[in-house]
Amino acid sequence: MTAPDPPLWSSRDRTPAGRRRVAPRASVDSDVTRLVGVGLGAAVAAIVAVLSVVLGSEPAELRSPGPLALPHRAAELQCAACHGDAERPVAAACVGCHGPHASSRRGHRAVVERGDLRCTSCHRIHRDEGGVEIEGSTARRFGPGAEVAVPLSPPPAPMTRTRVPVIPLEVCTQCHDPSRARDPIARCLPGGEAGQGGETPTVCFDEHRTIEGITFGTLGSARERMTAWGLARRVVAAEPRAPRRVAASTPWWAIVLASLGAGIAAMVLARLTLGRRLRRRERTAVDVAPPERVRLPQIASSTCIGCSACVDACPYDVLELHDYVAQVVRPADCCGLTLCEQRCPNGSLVVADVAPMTDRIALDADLQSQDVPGLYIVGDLTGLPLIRNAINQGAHAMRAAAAALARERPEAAAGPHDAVDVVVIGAGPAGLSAALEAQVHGCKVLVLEQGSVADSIRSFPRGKLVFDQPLAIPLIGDLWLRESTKEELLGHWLRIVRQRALPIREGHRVVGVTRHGAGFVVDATHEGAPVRVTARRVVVAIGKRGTPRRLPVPVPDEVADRVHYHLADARSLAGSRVVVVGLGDVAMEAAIALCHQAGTTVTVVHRGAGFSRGKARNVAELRRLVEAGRIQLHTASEITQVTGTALAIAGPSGPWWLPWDRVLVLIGALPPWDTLAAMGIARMATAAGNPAPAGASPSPWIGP
Amino acid sequence: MNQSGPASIPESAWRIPLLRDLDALARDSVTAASSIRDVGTGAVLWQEGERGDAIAVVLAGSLELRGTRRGDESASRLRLAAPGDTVGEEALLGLPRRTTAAVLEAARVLEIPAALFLRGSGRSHGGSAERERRALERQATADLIRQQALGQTLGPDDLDLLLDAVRWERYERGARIFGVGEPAGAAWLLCDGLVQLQTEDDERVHVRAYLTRGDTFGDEEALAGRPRDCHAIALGPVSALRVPADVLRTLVDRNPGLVGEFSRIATARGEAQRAVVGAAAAHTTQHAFRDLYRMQMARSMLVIDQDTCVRCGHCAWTCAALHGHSRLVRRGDKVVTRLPVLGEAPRSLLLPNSCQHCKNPACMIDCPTGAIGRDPHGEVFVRAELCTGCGNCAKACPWDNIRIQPRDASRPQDAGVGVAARRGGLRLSPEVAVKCDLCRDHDGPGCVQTCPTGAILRLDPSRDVAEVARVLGVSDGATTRRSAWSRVPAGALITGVVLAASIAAGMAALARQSAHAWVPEAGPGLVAGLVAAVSTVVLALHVVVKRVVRLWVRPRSRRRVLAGIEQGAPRSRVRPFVRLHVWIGLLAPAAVLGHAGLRMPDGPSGALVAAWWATAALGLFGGLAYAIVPKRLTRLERDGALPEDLRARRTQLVDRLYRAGSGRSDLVRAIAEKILVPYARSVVGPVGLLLGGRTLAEEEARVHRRVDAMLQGRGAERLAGIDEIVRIVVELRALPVRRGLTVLLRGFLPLHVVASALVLALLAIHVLVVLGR
Repeated sequence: MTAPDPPLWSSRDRTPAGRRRVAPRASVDSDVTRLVGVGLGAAVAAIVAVLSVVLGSEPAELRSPGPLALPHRAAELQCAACHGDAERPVAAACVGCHGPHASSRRGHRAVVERGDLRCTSCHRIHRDEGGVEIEGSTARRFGPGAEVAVPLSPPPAPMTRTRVPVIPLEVCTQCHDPSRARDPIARCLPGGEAGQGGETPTVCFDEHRTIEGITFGTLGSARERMTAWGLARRVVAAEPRAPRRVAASTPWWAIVLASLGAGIAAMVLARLTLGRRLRRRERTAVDVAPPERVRLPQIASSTCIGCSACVDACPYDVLELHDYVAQVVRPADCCGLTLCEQRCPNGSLVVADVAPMTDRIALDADLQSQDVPGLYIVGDLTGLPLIRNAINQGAHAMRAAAAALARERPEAAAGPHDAVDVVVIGAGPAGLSAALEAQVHGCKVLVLEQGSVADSIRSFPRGKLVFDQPLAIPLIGDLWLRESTKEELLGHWLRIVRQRALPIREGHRVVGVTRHGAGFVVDATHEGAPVRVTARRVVVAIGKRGTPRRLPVPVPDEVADRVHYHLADARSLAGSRVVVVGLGDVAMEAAIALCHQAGTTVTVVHRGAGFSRGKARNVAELRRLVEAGRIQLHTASEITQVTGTALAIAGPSGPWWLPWDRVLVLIGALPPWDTLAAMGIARMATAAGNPAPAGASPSPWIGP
Repeated sequence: MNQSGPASIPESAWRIPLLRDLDALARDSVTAASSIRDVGTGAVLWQEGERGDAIAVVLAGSLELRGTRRGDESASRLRLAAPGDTVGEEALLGLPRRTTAAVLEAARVLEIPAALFLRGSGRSHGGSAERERRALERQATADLIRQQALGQTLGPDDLDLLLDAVRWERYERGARIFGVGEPAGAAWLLCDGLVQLQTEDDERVHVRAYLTRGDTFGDEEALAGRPRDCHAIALGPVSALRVPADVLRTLVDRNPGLVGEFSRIATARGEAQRAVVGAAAAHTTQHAFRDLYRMQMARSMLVIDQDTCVRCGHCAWTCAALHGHSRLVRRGDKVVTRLPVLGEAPRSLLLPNSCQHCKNPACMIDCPTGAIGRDPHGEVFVRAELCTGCGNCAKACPWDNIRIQPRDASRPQDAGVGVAARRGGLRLSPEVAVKCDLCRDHDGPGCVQTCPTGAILRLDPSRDVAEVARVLGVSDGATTRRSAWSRVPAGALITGVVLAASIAAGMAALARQSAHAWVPEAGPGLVAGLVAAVSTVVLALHVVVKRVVRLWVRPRSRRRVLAGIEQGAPRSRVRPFVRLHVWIGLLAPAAVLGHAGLRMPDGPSGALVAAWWATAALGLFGGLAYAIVPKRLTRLERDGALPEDLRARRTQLVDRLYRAGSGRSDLVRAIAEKILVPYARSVVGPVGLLLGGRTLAEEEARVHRRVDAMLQGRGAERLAGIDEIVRIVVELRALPVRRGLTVLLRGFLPLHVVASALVLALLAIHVLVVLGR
């Protein structure tokens, strides 16, 4: 059994992603950048390799087959001294200093005469050639490019400087066989040292002079020579191996490691730099100030090319395209941001100030209420919409509050025990952002939420894309995700809440905030019981959604859990008889989503006479579904009574009973002005100087 | 025939009825995007059946439209077009040319992109342009119906009745044309697009039939007067003629033969499709029918064979190297299907984000300035000089294949003067839309030509994907096109031989070296050294093969790339060199052994040997990874993801897991807690998954078996939603393996390159020293 594939075109879901709201921008991915810095790394590795070779060895030695033994070095022999003349055998050069004195042994002499035994046959001066030097009472073992003192006990009698060359066994074994007892070489091996194979030193007798020979060089007599050879044997026994100058050139592993290391380091550095460059964004000052005037897009229809860039940019569907020209169809929903203006490719759309904003709250630059100092107001209520702005405002206000608290820190200890530094009312984007910022500043914070975390986001339709505005709003904090669906954003926030252990009390509805000394007393109700919190600052982040309007008739307690005020996921009501009250966009979208659930019957009850507002798309789809008999629509009807089994409906044709399982009440929300008024915050006067009428809401943001 | 660029349209042209009422802006955009063609006598403007997106206005001379009338054997003259006449109006409906336009007398023709004209006349609504447009549409509708089985049976009176009653309906991708249980008020004649008839039960969709152009649907219920028994979903933008039920009944009453005509076709199609779709769905969940519309719409689709793709991203890099910014993003859907060009076995194909040159390009239709064009071979391209960067095309593209990027004025194709500039004063837009244009300025798509393994292909899915071809009723080209690729794997054989030879030679050389029979300085040792040095340099030259893209993708003025696709897709030119690199790389160690044995002297020579072996080891590792890893990796992938995506994937999956678990029954939660979450958390689990070599589907089946074993048949009715959770936990378990395998595939190359540079430097020193000795 394999898991069934999620169907691509299930008619139960809403239309799949048809048209995107945001044009994807070209981005640089790792396929293109993965080899960035590799060229640099390669170059660095190569350069370091060359440098380490050149600096680590003498050029002359680099080209020679090996270092010279000490006496030759002391004589400062250059290559050309021996190898200068290609015609002349190298051995001929030896004779220049050492004189012609071929081996005096009988066996050797015949070979010498044949020309097969030259100086260099035995004395391979670039290789493991070495010897013993005795001077005074000290003895040294020398080899190519190095020497080591060998202490002898008892110390020998002092003698003038004498050198005895030591030939490795492998030279002799070209002709001799030391394993044969009769072979003369067998006697040359110092006792017990035969185990070194070809490198075993041989210290026999002076090959070049017979014992009876005439004195030569520094050795006065045959006796002295005998002594020197005897000492040499002792030295060789103590130090069989001729020392070599190991550092003749840099060891291979050092070159490889240094070069590879440098190359890789350079590569990594280059990549890090690139990454930083890619991540760097334009930083501009965060603007959290609410607008002061109502602004609306003005469209020059003669130049509009009908590209729908503005339509897609608008987060509130203010604009629509008719006959390939953009038009403002829902001016009341316009948020006054210039997203559309920025996206217009040819300047046909300009957002202009129309009239002064009416429903403003008096705030200072820190978003602190001018009516009630110490109380901050953030989020949609300030008149600045969009989730990103709410996030920024929450953080901004909390920074200001934290700074103010820090200034008065000394007297803070006097507060009551259960007091917190800041109470945040509302756990939407602005409230969460404020609470996170409070944690950053080390303030003791408490969040009171009437429903649950991020209810405003939860109430978005399933799968809604909360898209990244193409506006360069810089961002404080880490609440925002790039273009994400509602579910992703919600999941992200819930995880942050969990991870940071934000102190959020859900189900606490704030009923009043009163000043108490330097701080505030916040009264709330939780499941009917009063809760009181003392705080030094209050951040109001209750948004503009307010409280959903309730059914205007009493709902018996036993059926209250079957009456819903928002629809998060149509699947949760599948298979029941649902009555939707209302005919706004939210209600229509809910009804459409519900009727696509299996076994669900949907009845829409609307007080008005018919479709009065709403997006054309929703109206058309609902009409189609009503025509197709999938949705029952009752206009000019009202619910007058709720019982466990049926709803009493007063319609144009008289009262009747409608059986039901669930009721979905989507008739808008009560604006939060009353709550604000209870806190002592007044709305600013309108342009004409009249105070805003209570109840009615002239704000473009707050529907009636 | 010569084609002049943006036209200077004579004033008289604006007075012809069609163009008379266009407003100033529409005129501007028509001026900018149209072209004037001068065609000589006897030339052909277009051929019957060609893709044409422009309507043409004859400015001078005369044209003859020839077409094959239904029932006729040969083409005959349909009409003559004189100055002021319009031809090619079928483009307004998005249909291919139905006539051949031949020039009788040297003519000058104004070609206006149809989409642009529709916009222009839409803006200037109410004028006579709109009436003209309707007339044109009716004309095209009549032609269309006449070509259908329907039209052949009907007499002229009936046809008029039908023409009066039908209505054009357009549906967006995913829209429901009708649903189960709705009353049947009409039947539809599908004129363009793809419609899926389906029924749904709890968890999944059952496809009844896929319908393409020319099919009729909804007629049975409409005639019988019973409610719909299935859903009809538009798989892409669909235009259909809606025939009201009463009219249909009248027609059927008058022409009893009509019913048989419909149902016979429908039944035959349905049977055949069910067989193919069922077979495909049985062996994989990611079959080509997941997005059949895309398959049907694509003209030249980029696919990456995931079993051979080594995830090096060279395709995207090449694209960036050629165009300044990569238009190819190796992300996208994965499908499993049979591809005759690659052999009989089902292949995992990634459909990366790169333009597929739709037969009916949504981007072109939505472009407000006519900046997106299509040439007669179907290749869709952006004229940067007309582009305003509004992003309409990018939003319209259902597959995210168009990107917006800043205009780079230093690039000639970006820096043209646009309509804005010509109108004076307005600046050229700072941004521009980019998409794949099949490297139309070069001699073939760069990504295809430089793929090191030949894994990337350009296909016409409705022909090259066997199952799609069969469902869409096109014969699949399996028999004719298979020979080239299904032969004995010569490459693998040669590699084996080379490897064996190298091992034998290497061992022999090592024996000689150990016995001091060969020395580096002279004789065979020296020869081996020379061979090794030359091989090393040749191996290092591979960087030129890989990085100098212009070696393989040469600029070419307007070659018809798609023409090449007709004959058999362009193939990778780099692949032979990659093989050569591998073979030389396998042989070179023998030479190195012959020269240096296992000696490791101090100084540069020893370092050279050490670095050489390190490079070779990295190369060998990479080669093995390239050979082994992709197949394993493909089994664990549901989609194409870049390494940076995998980093964020865990969080996303965990989020999805929470969402999938919320609101489920206690039983599901308990299973998740007891079995599934520990399964996903297991540290050794991924290793087992890797070693077992199971696919994700097989692994899911295993997990399901474990769950079933625990339940032993209880609580089956409370298991809703568990499938999704199983999918997520399996993917979670596969994630570390995917990351690890990706690192294996991509990690070695930078080190290999750096080590190679070291080898080259040391080799140079070594040679200098030896020469100077």
